[in-house]
Amino acid sequence: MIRKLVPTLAVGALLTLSACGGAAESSSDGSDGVKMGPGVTDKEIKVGILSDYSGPIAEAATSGSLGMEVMFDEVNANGGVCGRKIVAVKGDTKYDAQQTVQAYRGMSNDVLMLGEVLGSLSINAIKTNIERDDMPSMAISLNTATMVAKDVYVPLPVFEVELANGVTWAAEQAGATADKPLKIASVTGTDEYGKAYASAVEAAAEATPGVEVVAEPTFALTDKDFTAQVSQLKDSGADVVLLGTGPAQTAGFVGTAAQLGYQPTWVAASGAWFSSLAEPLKGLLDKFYVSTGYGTLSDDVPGIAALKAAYEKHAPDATPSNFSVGGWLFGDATVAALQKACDDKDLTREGVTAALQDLDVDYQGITPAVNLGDGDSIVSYSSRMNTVAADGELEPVGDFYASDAAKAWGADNGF
Amino acid sequence: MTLFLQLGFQGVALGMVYALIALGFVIMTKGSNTFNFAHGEFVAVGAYVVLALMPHMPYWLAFLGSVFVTVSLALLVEATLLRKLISKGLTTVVLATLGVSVMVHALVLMVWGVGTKGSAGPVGSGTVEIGDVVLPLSSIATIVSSVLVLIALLVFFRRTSYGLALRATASHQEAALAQGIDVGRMFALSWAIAAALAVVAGIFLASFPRVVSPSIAVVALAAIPAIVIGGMDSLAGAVVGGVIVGLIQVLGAGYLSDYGGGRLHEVLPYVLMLLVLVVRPYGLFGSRGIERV
Repeated sequence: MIRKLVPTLAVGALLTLSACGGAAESSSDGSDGVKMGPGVTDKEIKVGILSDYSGPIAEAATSGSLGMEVMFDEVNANGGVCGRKIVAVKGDTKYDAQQTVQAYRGMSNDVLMLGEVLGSLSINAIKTNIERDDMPSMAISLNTATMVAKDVYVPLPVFEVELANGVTWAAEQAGATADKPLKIASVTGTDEYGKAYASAVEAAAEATPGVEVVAEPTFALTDKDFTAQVSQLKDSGADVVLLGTGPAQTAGFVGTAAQLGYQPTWVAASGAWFSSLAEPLKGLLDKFYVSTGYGTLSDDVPGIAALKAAYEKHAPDATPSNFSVGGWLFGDATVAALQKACDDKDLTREGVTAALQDLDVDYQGITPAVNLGDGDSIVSYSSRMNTVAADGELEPVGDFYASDAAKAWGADNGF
Repeated sequence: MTLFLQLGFQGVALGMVYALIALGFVIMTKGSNTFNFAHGEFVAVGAYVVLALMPHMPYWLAFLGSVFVTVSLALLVEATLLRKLISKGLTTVVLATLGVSVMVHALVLMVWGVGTKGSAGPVGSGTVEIGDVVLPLSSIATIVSSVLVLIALLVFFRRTSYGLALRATASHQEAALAQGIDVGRMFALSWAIAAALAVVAGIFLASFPRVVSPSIAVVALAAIPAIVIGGMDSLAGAVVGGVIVGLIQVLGAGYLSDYGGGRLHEVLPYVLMLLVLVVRPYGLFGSRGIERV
C-alpha cells in the first residue's frame, strides 16, 4: 500500500502546485500608494519581451528588441516610471509556436505587461493565454489580424496601410489615368496575412483611378525558387510590383526578375527590407522603394536624435537599424502606457489596460502621433516612401501621407 | 512551352542541390549506419565559411578552405560522438545527431549572427539565352558542378581501393572487417565525403539570387523526401529523388499555384514520399532487405 501511496501523494502535490502556478500574484499597494500588479515592486516594473533571438527572423528581431531596451535604459536614466526602473524580461521564441508558449509561461507570472510580442505566429500561439491572464501586450505584428485580438495592441501603422499607400503613390508617380492605366501586381505569402496584404492592394487599386491589378502570385515560406512567380509577373506586364514579403524572399524575387530580364518598379512594405540585402542586390535597386509607417535613422527629427544619443550612451557597441527604430517606437508606446497607469495610481494589468484606451502617443517626429483608441482599430494611416542608399539604409523621397484609398479599405473592413 | 522549359531547367538545378544533400545522407547511412540529422547544419557551415573567406582569397581557395573546415567538423563529430555511441543502438545515435544539430546551429549563430548575408555562389547574376529560355549562370554552374561531383564520386567508388573498401563496409561490416578493412576509418571517410558534398550543396543553395542565412539548414531537410523516394541505400536513387523533388517544387509552383491555396507544390514531395513508402517502401532504387530467420 505504501508503494502506491507515495506516488499518489506525489502526483497529488504536483497537480495542486500546477493548479496554483497558473495564477499571477494579486495586487498590492506600493509605498507611494500606487497599486502594484505582477512584476511591479517599489523599485521596478518588469516588462516582457517575446522575440526571435535565434531563429529565422532573428536579425531584424534582435535589432528591434535592442531598440526597445535602449528606450527603457534612457527612461531609467531619467528616473524611470513612478520612480521605478523598467526591467526588460526577455524570452526567445525562435519564431516557433511551442517555444513561444514556453517562453510566455516562463515569464507570465513575473511581468506586468508584454512590451513586445514579435510576429503573428507568436501572437497566435499565446493569444488565448494573453486573454486568460489579461496581459496587456504590444504586438510587433503589423497586420490587422493581430490587432483585433483581445488585450493586443498594434501602436503603429500596419503593413496593409503601407502597401495601400504604396499603390496610390505609384499611381501618382506614373500619372495613371483611365486612358493611361497603370498595371500593378502584388506578391504575397499563402498564409492569412498574405491574403490581407493582397486584399489591401486590390482595394487600393480599385479606389485609385487608372490602376489595374494584373497578377497576384503567391509564395510559400519554404520556397527557394521564384522562377514561376516571376515568370507570371513578367507575362502579366505589370509595371509596378507590390511586395508583401520577408527580406529573404525580396532578394529572391528581385534577383530572379533581374535574371529573367524583368525590371518593374518595386514597392515593398517595411517588413520586406533589411539593409544587409544591399550587397547581394547591388545594382538592382534603382527602381526599388520601401513604404514605411515610421521614419528612418536618417531623419532629422527629435525622436531619431534621441534614439541615436541613447544608443551612444547605453549600447555604444551596437549599430542601430531601421528595425531598432521600430523597437524604440514600441518602447515609446509602452512607456506612455506605464506612465499613464502610474498617473492613475494603478500599475496593475487592469490599470495598464485602462491606460491604453485612447492613449495618445507622441513619437517625437519619427512618425505622426497616434491615439490607440480601443485597441482594435488602425491607429494611423500614414506612411511614406523611401529609396535605398548604397549602404542599405532607407532615404525618404517624400513626407508622410495617408491616402483615401487606405482609409477606405480600413473603414470597409471595420478597422 | 517556354515556361515549361524555363521551370524545368530551374527545377533540375534546385533538384541537383537536393541530390547532393541526399547523397550525403545516403553515404553516411550506408557507410556508418547513421542517419545524421546534423547534416543540414554542415550544409549551412559550408556556405557560411565560403562567404567569410571569399573577400580574402580566390574563390577556389575559399571553397577548399570551407571543405577543410566542414570536413574537420564532421570528423570531430564522428570521432567523439558516433564511435562512442555506435554500440548503444541506432536510436541513441540518431538522437545524438539531433543534439549535434542544435549545437552546430547555435555555433553558427554565435559566429556569424542571425542575419541574412550575401550570396556564396561562384557566379553572379549573369544569364545565357537559348531562344526564349533564360538560363541563369548560377543554375548552369549548379548543374555542371553537380554532374562533375557525381562523376567524381562514381570514379571514386568504382575505381579506387578506398571506394571499394567503403562499398564493402556498407555492404557487410563484419565481412569487411574480416578482409582487413579498417571499418572505423571507413566510417570517418563516409562522413568526410558527406561533409564535402554538403559544402558544394551549401554554396549552390546560397547562390544568387539566394542568400546565406541560418535557415539554409532547414531547407536541407527538404532533401529527406528525395532520400525516401530514391531509396535510403541507393546513390543513384538519391540523385533521381533529388531531381524529382526539385522539379515537383518548381513546376508545381508554376502550374498548380491556383490549387490548395498556392501550397500544393510544398506538399506534393511528401505525398509522393508517402506513396512510395506504401507501394515500394525501400524506394525506387533501394534494395529490399532480406533477413535470414
